[in-house]
Amino acid sequence: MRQQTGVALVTVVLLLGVLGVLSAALVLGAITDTLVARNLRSASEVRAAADAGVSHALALVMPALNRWQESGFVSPGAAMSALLAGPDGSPGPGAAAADNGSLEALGIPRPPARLALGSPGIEYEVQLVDDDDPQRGLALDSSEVARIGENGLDSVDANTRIAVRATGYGPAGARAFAEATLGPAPAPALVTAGALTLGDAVTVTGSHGSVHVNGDLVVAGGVSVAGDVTATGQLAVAAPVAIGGRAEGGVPSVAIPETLPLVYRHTADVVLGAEGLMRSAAGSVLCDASLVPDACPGWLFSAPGWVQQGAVAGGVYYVEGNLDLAGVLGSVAAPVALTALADGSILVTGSLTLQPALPRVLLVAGGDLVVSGNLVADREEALVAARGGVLIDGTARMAGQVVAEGAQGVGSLAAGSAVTGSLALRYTGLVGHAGDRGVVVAGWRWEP
Amino acid sequence: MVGEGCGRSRSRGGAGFTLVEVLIAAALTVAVLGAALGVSADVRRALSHAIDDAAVEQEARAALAWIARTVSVAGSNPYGADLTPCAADATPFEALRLDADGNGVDDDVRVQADVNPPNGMLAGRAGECDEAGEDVTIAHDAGARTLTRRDAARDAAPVALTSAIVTGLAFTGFDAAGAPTRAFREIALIRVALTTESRARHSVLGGPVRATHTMDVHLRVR
Repeated sequence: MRQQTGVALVTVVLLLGVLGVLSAALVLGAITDTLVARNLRSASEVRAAADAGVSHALALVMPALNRWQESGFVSPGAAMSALLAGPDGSPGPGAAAADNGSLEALGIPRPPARLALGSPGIEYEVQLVDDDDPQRGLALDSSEVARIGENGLDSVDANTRIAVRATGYGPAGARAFAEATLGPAPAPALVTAGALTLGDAVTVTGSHGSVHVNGDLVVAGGVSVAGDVTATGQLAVAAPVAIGGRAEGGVPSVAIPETLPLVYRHTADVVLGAEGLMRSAAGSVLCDASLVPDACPGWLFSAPGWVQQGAVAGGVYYVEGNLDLAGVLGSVAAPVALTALADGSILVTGSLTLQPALPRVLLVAGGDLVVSGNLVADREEALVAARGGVLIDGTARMAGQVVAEGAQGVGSLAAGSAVTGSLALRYTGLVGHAGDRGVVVAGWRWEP
Repeated sequence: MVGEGCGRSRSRGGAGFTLVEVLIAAALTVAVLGAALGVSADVRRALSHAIDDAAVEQEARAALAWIARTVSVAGSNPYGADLTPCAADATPFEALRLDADGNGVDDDVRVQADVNPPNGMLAGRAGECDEAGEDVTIAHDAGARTLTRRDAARDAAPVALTSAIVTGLAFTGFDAAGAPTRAFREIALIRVALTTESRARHSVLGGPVRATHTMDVHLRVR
């Protein structure tokens, strides 16, 4: 009997051992699966919470920003700065900065206060940040801050872009960030009111490289446009053309704000007066060309306006009357920082390589704008605008937005708008002058 | 009487089992142990397959989560970056391109987004190319049965993101109204279908166990 018992014991022990190992593997596997599933669920929950936070804020912020005109702001950017300043309306410094970015006025509590979602422990907090705010944790260097058109002031918008940043929280310290960057809706690179004719040497590139005309548009063969080519009236396109987006006539018109050089007059470093006096920003007379037209170096007074005919210092120039940029100025290696504003028309007959002295503004004419010479201004995006028409029958290589308001009787240089010369225009939306279609979500990112 | 006699005979004499008894006992032992080991092997195989299935499922879910995260930010371009200088095949900015390799099969997509950081540059400055995640091609390597990633900022060639479990990958675009579209600029939603295969055999059909995991990804910047 003893020997039989031993065999049974060995058998049972073996079976128990096998079953034990299998059970342990099963339990360990189940525990691991449970932990992995819990982690996945937790990650999903906190991300969903952050997502909900951004969506909540967007639902409140977007309508507020898109009513910027009704709210009395001069631009969407001004409305953004007001939101960034928080309920007290002041960006700081000191205690006034404590509420910067808070959406309390719109019903979302100021961080670190959180809002709870349905599941226990799932919460989020939301605030607004300027896109160069170190709170975003991006560590942008100075060249990147310049590239995105910001000013280094974390509560004052300079480029019509701000970010809604939400943090989602979950159990056991889990958290995730979601961030939506708000920016202007895409506006065309070349916008005119009235008819426009594009010749065969026109290239429009960039993410906002579109053309729109509030009127009829004639496009010659050989034109290359990265985005859309649209017109409120008839669109006539001759083959072959390279149009990256849609080509369509009969579309809704694009808003073109009034082009008033006077709006920028306060930024002028030098005012070239209609009476022949050159004045500083403070009003002091720098030189008098009323009797001797070429008394001011580089300039010729020729009523009713001024002619740039030689080397002049960079800066913002405001001309009472017409302006003819007829000299040679700057080079590709060393462009001259110059912004020209004129009550009348601006004519470019010389050879100029410029970059804007006034951020985002290069040439603004109260009359027409004509480029018959050679203009290179492709380093920084800037506005080139005329209250009348724009005529380019020379060569222009520019970055930014070209706008012709199409007002009648304000200039005599251009009968409507046309590009019969060579134009290479690149635009990524940094100017935001014409074609305002409101504010949109222009960017989105997740962390981690 | 016979039984008692036998019993007495064994206990008294200590002669042990008869050969027949030993053979029967041995046969029974072999049969029982064989059955136990057979059951054990079946259980171990089933367990292994179950674990394999679970692992494939988890890998597929993780892959889908990564795809969703990558695709959801397609077109994020707050500063209008228009070119990437980093990929050898530099192309203009486009939120996403279905069938990036142009072979007529929508089993790959190239996604571009200025997100890491958002700074007006796509994948980084020329020569540096250090902004990962901004120009990413997601594809299916049918030969290796893997999901691959090629990041213009850091991958010279596609990198496998999964083990050899992926037998199918399909991207389908839909516009804002929910209609299927392949026009890049109209796509508002991407449906991702990831088909995986584990080592397990189907209990009824006998073939490998396949599963298709589907996820709809809304593009945030549309």
